[in-house]
Amino acid sequence: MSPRARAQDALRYAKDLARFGLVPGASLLPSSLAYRLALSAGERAYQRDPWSHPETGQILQEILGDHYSPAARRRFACEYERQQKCEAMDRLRIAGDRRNVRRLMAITGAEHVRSALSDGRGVIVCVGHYGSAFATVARLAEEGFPLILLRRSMDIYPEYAEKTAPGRAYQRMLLQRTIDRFLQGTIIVGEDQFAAGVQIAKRLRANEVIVSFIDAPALLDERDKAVLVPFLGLETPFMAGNFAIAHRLRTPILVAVAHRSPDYAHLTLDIHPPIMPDAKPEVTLGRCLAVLEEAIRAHPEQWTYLPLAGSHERPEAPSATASGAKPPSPLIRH
Amino acid sequence: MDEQIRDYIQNELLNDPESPPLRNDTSLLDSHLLDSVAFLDLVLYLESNFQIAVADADLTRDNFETVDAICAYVRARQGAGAGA
Repeated sequence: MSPRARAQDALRYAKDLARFGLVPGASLLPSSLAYRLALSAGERAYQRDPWSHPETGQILQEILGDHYSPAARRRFACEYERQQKCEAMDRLRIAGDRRNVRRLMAITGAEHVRSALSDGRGVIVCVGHYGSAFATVARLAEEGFPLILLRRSMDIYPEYAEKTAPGRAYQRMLLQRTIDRFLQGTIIVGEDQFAAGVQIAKRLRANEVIVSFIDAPALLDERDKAVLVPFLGLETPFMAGNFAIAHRLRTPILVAVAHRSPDYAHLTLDIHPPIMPDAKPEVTLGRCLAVLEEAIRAHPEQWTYLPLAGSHERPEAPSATASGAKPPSPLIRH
Repeated sequence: MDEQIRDYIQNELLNDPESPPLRNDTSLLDSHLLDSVAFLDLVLYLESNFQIAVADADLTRDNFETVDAICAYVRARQGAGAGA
């Protein structure tokens, strides 16, 4: 390794080590100041990366099907970056102090979860990478629900694997403090599908709440088991095994969507009335995605997975689609 | 019981006219003949047709790997229920 490469490695190592200071720093700040800083960081990110602007605007047009002026596209691209930094700030503040979850996010419709649990068949709460994904999960747990999260292993994300040792330790710490400490448990999906399915069934039979991110398309190597569901105007491959299990167990399904308020420092989590899984899994999933889609169409800048939407292609060429590519990393971007 | 369970798996869960007849010692799970949803169907079928409650802790490959294992498990549960 050249001296220059060694120096670059040392710098990366030091920067990743320094990130540990972000958590206490962010949580000590008053909320209004913290989110002003987040907005400013978003604007700097927008200025730093002009390459992404036309792409973000193009994706916006693909989703909404309208024509936007170059100025409108630039405003949107900037707003997307601001929202991303606000979500990163949410995570830092929750990691620093769990009481920040309730301060950050109000909740409506929690009675739907309680009512569904009273039937004793468990509940599946569908969420998206919208508003503030990790805060959504933490807020549901803070409401007192016995929460089990379906998620993929961090190892599938190249961004995580390529980090330095302190960089990976920082991401694991964030995951633990923003999500894992609020949960009864997690079920890793995408590896041993049989084991995951059995775990989901066990948890629902124990009348627990399974939280599932429904806007993550199937990975390429999952395509043979995926179903095509209309989403944002495209037939998109998704895994729907948990909906098949819900169908067998007659488990109610709820959709929860978090909306960021105009002051950026607060969100409201709206839990929608139950959807009974009385149809084919792909139909039920489609009904849930339609609720999320309505929110995305209203405020696409709040959808973290927006970059993935632009990689969807029409189903006549499924082998060439990139929609099964690895989803955007859940890792925080600073 | 063996025949009833074997027929159910063969006709309702495998649902493939091309598949060879199921034997009592055919591997169901390790060979991926049943996926997790079919496995759940099987558990619900056993509970409703043999009046047993399958405890979550019993949802293991050992208890459901073959028709023989399933039958042994069902008999044990029925015995446990009768003795209770």
